[in-house]
Amino acid sequence: MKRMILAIFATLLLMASTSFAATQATNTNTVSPTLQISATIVSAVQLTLAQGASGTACTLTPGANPDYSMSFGTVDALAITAGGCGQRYTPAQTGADAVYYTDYQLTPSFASQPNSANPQISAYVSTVFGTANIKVVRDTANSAAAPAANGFSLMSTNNAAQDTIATAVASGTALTRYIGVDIAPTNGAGMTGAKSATVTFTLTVN
Amino acid sequence: MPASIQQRQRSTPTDSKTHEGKRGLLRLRKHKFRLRELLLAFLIFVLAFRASAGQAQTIALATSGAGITFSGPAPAVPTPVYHAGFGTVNGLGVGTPTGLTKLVVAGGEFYYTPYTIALSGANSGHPGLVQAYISSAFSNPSSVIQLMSCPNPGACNSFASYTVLPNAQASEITVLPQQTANGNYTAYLGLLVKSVNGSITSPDKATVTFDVYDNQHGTVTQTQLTLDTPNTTIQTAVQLQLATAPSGLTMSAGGSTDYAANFGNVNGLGIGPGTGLTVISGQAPGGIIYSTPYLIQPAFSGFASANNTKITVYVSTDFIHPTLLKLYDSQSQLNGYAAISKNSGSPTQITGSASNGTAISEYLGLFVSNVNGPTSFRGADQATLTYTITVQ
Repeated sequence: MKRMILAIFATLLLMASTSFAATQATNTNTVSPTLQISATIVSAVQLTLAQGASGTACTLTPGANPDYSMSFGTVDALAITAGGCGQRYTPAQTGADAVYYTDYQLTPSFASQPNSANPQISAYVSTVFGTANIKVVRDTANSAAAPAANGFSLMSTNNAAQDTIATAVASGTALTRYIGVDIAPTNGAGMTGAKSATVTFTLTVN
Repeated sequence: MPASIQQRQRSTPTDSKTHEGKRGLLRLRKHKFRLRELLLAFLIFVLAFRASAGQAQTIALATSGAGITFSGPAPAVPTPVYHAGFGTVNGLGVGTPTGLTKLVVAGGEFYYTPYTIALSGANSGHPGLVQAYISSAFSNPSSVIQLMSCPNPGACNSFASYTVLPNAQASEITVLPQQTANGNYTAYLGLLVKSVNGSITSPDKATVTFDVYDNQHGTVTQTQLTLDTPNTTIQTAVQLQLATAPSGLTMSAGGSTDYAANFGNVNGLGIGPGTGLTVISGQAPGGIIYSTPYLIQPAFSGFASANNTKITVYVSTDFIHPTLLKLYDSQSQLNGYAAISKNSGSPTQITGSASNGTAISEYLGLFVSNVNGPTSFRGADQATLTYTITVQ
């Protein structure tokens, strides 16, 4: 009887499957390896600009430095020239300078932010035009509606006192705003020719 | 042997002298005497020839080092038969057999062992050459297992040094080149076990016959090795491995789990994906998916039936933040992502017809939520996937 028990035990041992790691085994038809996935979540914030949806909006071209570029083309202080894109107001309409403007889109995105009650977008002219007869303007109302002729304000050139473009923005929702150039009827040397300025937008989530 | 011959030469004349001077039967006896004389002369010639040829070269087979165990001869006559065996093997090389060394080769696993050929009766006038062939083949065809040989003094740690042992004496191969000195010579015997499924006979055995030639005198002696102690048993083996795909996230082996993949820093916007990762949008609401290709490598051998082999996966240990991080599976990079099951009872099936040795290109997706505020989380998290292959 004892021998029989030993024999049965030995047979069971021989028949048993053998696993050498979870990746391989013998005398069985299944094996189950495991894969550990690791990740570290970090908070993220993103602000992208895009061409406006009006149909006449100036093209916003992504680049490396600066991140985007836009050109109004040929403009003049009497708003005689149509410009390369967008719309324009004559001095008679604004009661002051000519304004060439266009709609554009801002899309704020943010994720894993611990506080997101009042994310806002601000902007300022970080590099002004080289001459005083041309300045960057924005829609005073900060709205998606096209501004009236008198609905523009000069954009701040002070990093410490930026203009607010939008408040309580929602992540992933595109916003329409307006930006333009104000051309003063200043005469004198150097008032014509290609000019460029840089506007820096900032999204702050808090 | 020569002493014995001389004794016989001396005794014959003595016998003949006892019959001298007798008549009647003398003539008949004289004829008989001449017949005996002729027979004796022939015997002397044969024995003298054998003596001049020397004792025929023979071999004994024995265990070499840590190789498999040789026993015998049993029987010792008329042909000495030694016994050894490869034992339990499989086409994937899973496990560590005693006395055998393994090599992964194309299409299977190669097991090999050294053995000793003890040559005796050889000298400069009587060199010995040993050749071998399979005199009794395995029941399994060569598409399942193959006996191979690496002759002395080859570099036998390489599969390229081995030659298939033929099944006929006419095409036998050398296992010990011609030697002019007795001694123990090491050669190697190998068994190629193919990674195949279907009809397989197990256990199985074969016999190798060794022919020891003295080509200068045209003699040959035989010794046999029967591979039946133990018999060759081809066991089933199954394996499932993961591997890094070209341009994919690194799949590391080892650690607390069999494999590990680290997606590094991730965010709900998909900004700055790490090496090997692609950000996929629009496949899961509320966030993005970091996707990586990877390889699932099934292998199975020795099964009678394996056409419906399936591979499944499920999340066996979920993330601590399961609403912020989720694991997805897809067979294409840009779309088709589905959340991987978290239920071991109903895992996500990757395939229902896996092929032995054919890697599957799959995509693993890590969903990262873009939620903000108090339910958001920043920091490290981990989950574990369990893959299962079932051969059937």
